[in-house]
Amino acid sequence: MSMSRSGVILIVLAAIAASQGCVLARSPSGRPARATTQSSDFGRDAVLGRIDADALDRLTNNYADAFRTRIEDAVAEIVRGNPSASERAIAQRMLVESTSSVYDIATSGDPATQVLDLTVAVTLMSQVWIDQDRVRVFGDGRGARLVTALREAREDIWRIAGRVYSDDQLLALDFIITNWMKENPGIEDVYWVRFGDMQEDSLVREIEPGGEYYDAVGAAIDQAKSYERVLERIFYLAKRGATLAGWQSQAIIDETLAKQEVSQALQELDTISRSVAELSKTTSRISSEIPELLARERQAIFAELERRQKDLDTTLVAAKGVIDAAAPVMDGLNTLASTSERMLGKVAELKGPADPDAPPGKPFDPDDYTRLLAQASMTLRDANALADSKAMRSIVDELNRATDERIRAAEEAVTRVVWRAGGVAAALIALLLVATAALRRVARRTA
Amino acid sequence: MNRPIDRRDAIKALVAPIALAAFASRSSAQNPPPADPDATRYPVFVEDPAVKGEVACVGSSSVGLLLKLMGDELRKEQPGITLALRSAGSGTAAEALAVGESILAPMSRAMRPAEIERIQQRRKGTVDFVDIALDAIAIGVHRSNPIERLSLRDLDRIFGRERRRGGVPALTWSDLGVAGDFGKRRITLHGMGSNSGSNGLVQDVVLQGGAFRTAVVEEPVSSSVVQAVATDEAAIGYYSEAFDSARVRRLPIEALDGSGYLAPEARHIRSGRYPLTRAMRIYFVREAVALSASARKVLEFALSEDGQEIVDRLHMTQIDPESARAATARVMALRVKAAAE
Repeated sequence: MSMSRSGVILIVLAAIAASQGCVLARSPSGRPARATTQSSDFGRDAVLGRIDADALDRLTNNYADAFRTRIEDAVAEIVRGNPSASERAIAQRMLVESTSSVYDIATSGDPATQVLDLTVAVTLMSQVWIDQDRVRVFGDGRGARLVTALREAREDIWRIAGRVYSDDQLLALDFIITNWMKENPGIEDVYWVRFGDMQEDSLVREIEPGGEYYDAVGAAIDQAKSYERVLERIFYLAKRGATLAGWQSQAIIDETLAKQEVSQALQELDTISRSVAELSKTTSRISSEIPELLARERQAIFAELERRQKDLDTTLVAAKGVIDAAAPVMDGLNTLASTSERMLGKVAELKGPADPDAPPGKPFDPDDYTRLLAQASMTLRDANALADSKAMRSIVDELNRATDERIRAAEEAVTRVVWRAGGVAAALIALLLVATAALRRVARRTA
Repeated sequence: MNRPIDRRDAIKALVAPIALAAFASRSSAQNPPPADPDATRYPVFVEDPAVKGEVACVGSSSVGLLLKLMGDELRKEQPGITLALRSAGSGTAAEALAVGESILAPMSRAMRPAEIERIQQRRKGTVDFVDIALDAIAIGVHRSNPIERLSLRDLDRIFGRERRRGGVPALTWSDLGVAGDFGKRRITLHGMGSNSGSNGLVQDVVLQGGAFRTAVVEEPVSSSVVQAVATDEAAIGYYSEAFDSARVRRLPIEALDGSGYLAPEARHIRSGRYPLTRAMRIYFVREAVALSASARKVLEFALSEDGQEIVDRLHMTQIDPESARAATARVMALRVKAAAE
């Protein structure tokens, strides 16, 4: 056999309704009177007897204001000096949701339902934050005051409920709330849970005017009274609306700031700000030194280039020197080659024409030497021609030109470096100004 | 032809029965006889459309909650039966039964001898009861409290003004053996209202009828006690075990039979060894006053599988199936009036 949760709760509610009828004596006017009880911890002795709807309404209104004060103080304790945007956002949201919910209930229609709903909502809030230990999110004992605030708020609303309901009814209500928590594990957003949510639509049947429950708690309010009460409630809520709206805005700001991307951006902004601040200090410190530093650097760069150019020039000069020095040798070689040619001619004349049938490869053959000499002569002539050639001169010119270009490029580079350093400094200073302005805006918003 | 018995035959003759016995024993251990499948089940409720009528119940709201849920579920199966329930506390149950205002009297405590006597005189019958659920009172301390367990005498020293179990008052945690700075803390006490069944149970079992210390802060409901302890490191409190808090640790309590310390777990509650256990009980009058058939159906349903499922739904402890079957048999044997009333 199965039975739905709503069915269970409906039945439990019916039990309350049934029990309601037997514990509250009716007054002659039809308004019920509270049954006597020996329990004294609720200070009931002073309030025994009829529970007037207006008195109950005032009680719940006062309770809502007291609740707001308690939670506001506790949240202020959490937020004050808290570096965690996430914790500030959670606390601010808790303040907004809990107080809005309590005011919503306190300004609702039926005082008896107000008591029920306040008992349910505040008990659930206290169970989530205290018994389920959600308050741990604040760490470092920041949530201690919130625990106390919720505990006191809970005690107060059960004290009020004790003036309306019998001990047995409170016991049943306790079971209903606890069962709801057990059947809805993990739900933390309980601010807007109402007694009606615990037994769904059946609440309408159970507390509708004329119903046993409705009669029992004395909520049969005549029309004139109810209009008057509605007006009072409008004024009551209007007076508190600005504060609630302010908290709501603050909660939105805190939540926006606590968002990961915003947090990241702010963190980066902080980092940039720190960097810029640091840089600005450095900049101001070295601003007078910058020209001198740059001049020194420039000199050092030019000195280096000059040194390198000297080396290059030396190399080139040496190369030219080698070529130049080679010229007389070449001339000598040319003379030698001419002499060799002449000599070879004489040798050829002496030898006569070659015998094609003669056997090759004698151990000494003067032809080998003449061939070698002829080759050497050719090489020397070619080398000399190369040294004097346009090609070789163009290579040397190209080398010189390339060196000059590199020197000029280096000079330009240094000049660019100098200008860029100045530009970067200027850009950083500009960025510093922007960041300072941005931080001032953020500071103004969070103040 | 008869062959002479040699030594090997003699040994076989001796060993065979032993081996057979051992094998049989082993087989038996490995394959125990099939358990009675009904042994772990609650009785199945059998509806009887012919039974109709209203059953008046006056008494405890705790048991009343159960009865209300059971009554509505019963109505689905037996539309002719209606529970007229009035929850005004256990104290009203006996009187309502005595004057005939109710047929069933739900109570979260045992009826006192004087109450039973009055009913029996007025109704000319015998007062009887069935237990339909169990509840236990837990003793809780803040999770940071290093104390590990408490005896009933310790509890009497903590909560009792008269300390009928002996010993000196326990005012600080060091009086209970807690060392260090925590031991210097003064014990703060939280409990239920003086009219509550929880309070009566602690008073009877722990204080042996003695008075509570005036320092005990009375909370309206169990969840208030739990939260009071959750928000005060030096606190101790007693409350229905159906309630709990992440910040509160339940302490094992000295067993009634002196066999050690027990936590309020279902098995200890059912066995009756956990000392702070109370039965959710329905009293009625039998014999001379015939019980109505519809009232008997209500009792049957409460003891059935369906009824016990509702007990579980309310996070109370179910009675054990064997007790449920025995009680059902007793209820079925009751003399009842004509079916249609």
